[in-house]
Amino acid sequence: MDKVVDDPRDSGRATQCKIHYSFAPSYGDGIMYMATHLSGPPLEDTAYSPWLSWHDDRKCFRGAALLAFDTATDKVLWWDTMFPREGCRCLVIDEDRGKLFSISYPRDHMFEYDLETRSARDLGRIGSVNAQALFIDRRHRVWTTRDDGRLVRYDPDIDRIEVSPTLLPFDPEHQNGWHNVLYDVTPAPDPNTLYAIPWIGHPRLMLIQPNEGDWGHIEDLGPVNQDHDLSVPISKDRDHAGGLVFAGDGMLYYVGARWSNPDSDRTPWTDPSMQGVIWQFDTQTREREEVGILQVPGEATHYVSRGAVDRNGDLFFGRVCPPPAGIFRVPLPDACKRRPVPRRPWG
Amino acid sequence: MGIKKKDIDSKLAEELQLEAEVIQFLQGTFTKEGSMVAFPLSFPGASKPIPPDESRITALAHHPDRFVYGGTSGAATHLFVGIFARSGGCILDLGVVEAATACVSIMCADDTLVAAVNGPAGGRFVSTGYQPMPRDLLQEWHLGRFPIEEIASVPSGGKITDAVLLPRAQCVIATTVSALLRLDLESGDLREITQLDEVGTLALTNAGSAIGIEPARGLWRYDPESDRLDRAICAIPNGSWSASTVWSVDSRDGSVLLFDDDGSLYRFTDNDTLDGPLAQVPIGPVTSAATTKDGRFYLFAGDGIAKQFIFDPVTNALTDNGVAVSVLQSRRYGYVFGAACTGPDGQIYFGETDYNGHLWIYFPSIRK
Repeated sequence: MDKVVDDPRDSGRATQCKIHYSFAPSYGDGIMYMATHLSGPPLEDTAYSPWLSWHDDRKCFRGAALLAFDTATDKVLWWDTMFPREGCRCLVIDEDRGKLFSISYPRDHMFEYDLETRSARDLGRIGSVNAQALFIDRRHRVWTTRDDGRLVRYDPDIDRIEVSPTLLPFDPEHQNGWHNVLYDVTPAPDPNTLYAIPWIGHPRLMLIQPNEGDWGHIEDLGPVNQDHDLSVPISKDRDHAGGLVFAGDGMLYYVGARWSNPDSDRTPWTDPSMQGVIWQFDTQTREREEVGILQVPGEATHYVSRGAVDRNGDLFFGRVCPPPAGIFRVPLPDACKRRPVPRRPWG
Repeated sequence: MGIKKKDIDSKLAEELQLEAEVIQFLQGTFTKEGSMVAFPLSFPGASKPIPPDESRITALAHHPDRFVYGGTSGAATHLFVGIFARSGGCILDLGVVEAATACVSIMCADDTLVAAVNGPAGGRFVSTGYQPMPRDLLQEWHLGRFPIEEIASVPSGGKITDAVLLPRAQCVIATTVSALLRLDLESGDLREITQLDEVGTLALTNAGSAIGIEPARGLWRYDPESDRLDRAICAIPNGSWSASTVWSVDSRDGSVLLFDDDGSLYRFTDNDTLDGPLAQVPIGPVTSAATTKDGRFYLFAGDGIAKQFIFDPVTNALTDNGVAVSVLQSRRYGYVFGAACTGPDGQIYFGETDYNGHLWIYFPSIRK
């Protein structure tokens, strides 16, 4: 990546180290848009703080690089710096209108990028806790969440970011909605429905129908992981779930964490005892079943970020930590590959 | 080939050590001295905040005996009051100023709150009543709004650049693109004093006059009692100067602090002299500043993500206090601040000029 976007890894700047939830496929022409994110430090440093280095001309991250990658030829057609000094947290494409929308990090601004003019426009700040997912509805409105757990959406018809009057589901016994921002969102076979998991301790699976009513219809489908000691503000890195994906059997799959250490234990979340449990959720019966456990000897497997289905109908789950990051392939029987799977224009 | 437990243990120890180092590094980024509290523009739990794109705070003023007042800019302009004394703890939206999108200045006159606002039709001065102390915002409350009324509008649709209240004369001095104006609050008369070569921001001096900068000439002063404008009362040093500097009044002696465009700090004294540079802010632009009761001067500077700096007039030291963060009331990072004023106990109010802007209350550390 550093060679393609002419930002060498030994430049002394924070590096073009990763692509976060920022793959946005353009299905019509086979272009995969992808944008980089920050966190990797300059070569001589151990860590990088974008706040600390914001005014450091030598070290500051140059800015999120946006690439247009032609999946037919495996070539990068062009690239741009989408916005300076910030990384791209997540990305969605409005293919009909030729626009990309993103959330920047660290300032948590929503940006619109016009693919025709190749220019970006700052639509405004969302908050401080950067959401990790954007999605788009039939009316071309772009949705994400704010720090307090409310849905927000950019409506291009009025060129304004609006805030929902209601909060996404959370556990009222020990939470108040704060930090209940979207982590992963997947479209369902029903084009009006999405399923989502937030980035918060004790996350809950939820159904969102953004095109219903004024602010959509939301249903709480319950917690995805085990109960925990509520006197401990549990780490999201431990109590994690992600990888939402529909397979060719019409079932929703995701990976949730399971752990056996006490919740107040200081053992790192990369402890090998952390398990990644593959769940199969039947959206008709609202029942779920444990169908597998991801395994790598001596390593934690619970921190799955995203799931996908390939053209052969098999599942794939991306594991972020511990390093090295990797991908699990979960083959499915032929009986689970019969139905078409929904397209997902966001990362 | 298996992985041995001792290899796992040493790997974990290494990870924990690295994590500790990273934490120390990252925590050095944010507010290091004093405490910041970000307060939403609402009565939390009892009212809806000012809409996010109407909440860029661009003006603040603290009434000597009452509360902090502010004005916002954006899709609409709101006036608001922050009630933090005793069993208070709320921000009350005083209402939308009709047909306005920017609040340039807010001023606490004797009997009325005055705001200078701009909209598509130009600049206006409006007023509204002061809020009384409410009963008890933990138990029961009865809060309401006074109407916001127009006092005067700028002729020919001119826009107001800045405005300052001269309390002894109970008049407002304001600047537009090219003119200096005077508004008499009792009569509501608005007249032009003169045209200036370049107009910008204003400050109030200890003597009750208004001062501003004409970069080509120097500082000017307007005395409301004699209705006299004296230009070039004080030369400005070589450097880069615009008319729109950030001013602040030292609450100890009423002297006025100001910056050139490169962030050099100067003090304008009662002798009509400009002392300095006292310090050099390493990043620009300076966007907001205020002093606490012992003269320590707090400012925000920097584009995109502002940093707070502290100037100590005793040592003339300028220290980097990091990026603003609030972990009380609202958990939030503060990136853009465009207004500031001092409270009665030496706390500094900073207005966040950002989408979903909060009123930030900074409590300086106590000097040993």
